[in-house]
Amino acid sequence: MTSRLYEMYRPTQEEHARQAFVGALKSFVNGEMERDLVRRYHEELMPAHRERHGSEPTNRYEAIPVMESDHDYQLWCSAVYSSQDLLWETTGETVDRVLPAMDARAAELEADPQRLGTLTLAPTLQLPSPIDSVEIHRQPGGYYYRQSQADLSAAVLYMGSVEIYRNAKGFGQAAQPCDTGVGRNLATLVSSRYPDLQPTRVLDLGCGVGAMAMGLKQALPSAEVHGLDLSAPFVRFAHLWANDLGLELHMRQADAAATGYDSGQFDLIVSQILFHETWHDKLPAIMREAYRLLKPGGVFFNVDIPYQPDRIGLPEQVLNHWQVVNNGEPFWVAFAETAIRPSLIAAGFDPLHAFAEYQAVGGGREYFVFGGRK
Amino acid sequence: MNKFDAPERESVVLRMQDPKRVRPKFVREPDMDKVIDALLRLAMEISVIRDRLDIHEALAELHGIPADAIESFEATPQIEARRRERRDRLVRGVIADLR
Repeated sequence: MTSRLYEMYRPTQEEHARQAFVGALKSFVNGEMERDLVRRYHEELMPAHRERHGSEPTNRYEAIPVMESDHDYQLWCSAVYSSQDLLWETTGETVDRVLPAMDARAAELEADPQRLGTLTLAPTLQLPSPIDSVEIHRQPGGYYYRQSQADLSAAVLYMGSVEIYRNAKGFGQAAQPCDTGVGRNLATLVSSRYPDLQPTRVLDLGCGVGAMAMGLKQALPSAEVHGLDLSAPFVRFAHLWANDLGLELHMRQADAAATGYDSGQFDLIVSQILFHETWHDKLPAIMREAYRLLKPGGVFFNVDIPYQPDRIGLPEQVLNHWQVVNNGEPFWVAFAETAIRPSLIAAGFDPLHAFAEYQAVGGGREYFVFGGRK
Repeated sequence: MNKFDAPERESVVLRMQDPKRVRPKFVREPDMDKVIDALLRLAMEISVIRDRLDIHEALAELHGIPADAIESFEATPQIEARRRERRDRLVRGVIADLR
């Protein structure tokens, strides 16, 4: 599929070479180096600690100092931190160069009465604290940078960083930024769990730059697909990108806990990595809002990270904890420690249908999936 | 409005240089000798690549290939694979120096 946005975003050869190096660095430090640290903990650090103290660490807070005393762990921390700075710096170089053209394209589209779908912005929306002051993944300026102005930089920067992860996986220069496969995969997960469900109105909560909403529209072409996010740059970019791909989507800037939609409007409400990137105190209100928006028989289906502490070993917990403290993941721990199924039931979902479980998705990976049916 | 609103757009690269973004220290014994080894090796490799590139670009121009052919070049999957292998080797070498 030709994409005008992709042609606009295209990094130069030098930018691509730098970004590809960052991808290689990330792939090494987050892959082989992490696996080696886990092995070192079990085979060297923990036995040495047991020898000296007569006991083993029983939780991650006891395991943290054991790992922090290790030079390889310190080097990992330093290298991961550097790689994240380099990610933003090298993506930023491309974003700074292409942004004037992107901004102009967005302005042209928003003035075009023939454009597909709708874009609803909320210029007076007060961003909830502390979400307003957090730089998730340490993205410079955060997801809401200049949200009240015509500036797409937060969205393009986010999209470009995802592209580097794709490079790290070996997709190379010819890959399309932000593949929409995530939405098509989600549609498959939903239809295998609910074969009788024929969604006609779908809502993606925390839709980001719109990759999942677009994939859902491709998988369910006759459905009316809506995407909602707190970030104005994200929904503006998603509207632009959907038009670029010829997809009719309805994007709205709003709080997922107070969406402004009428009750009983949707038969499928989804989210992907919304809950670990939002303030945990908002979780009950978002779940209640989803329940209110569903038609009777409608489905709420969410995908997030499977990093609940009881699922993973102590050294892995220490590495995750480092990400929380040092890599812009302040909401991760509270989400991982929340009892999700009881929260769904408290929000109104029927205990017979409320679920929170782990789903294998191939390649040894799994998702944490949760939701319910009204 | 939020704390990131600014009257003028700042480039992302400038935002990264904000003095408030303090780089935490993780390595307790930084062992500067190792860091210098790694940095000098990287500088050397960059210099070698620059020189080699210069030869390629000069040769290409001598043989009538315009300079913008470099920018519009599309790497084949084989070339991409070769580049990936080189990057991986470089990352491993630098990290090994720092260990």
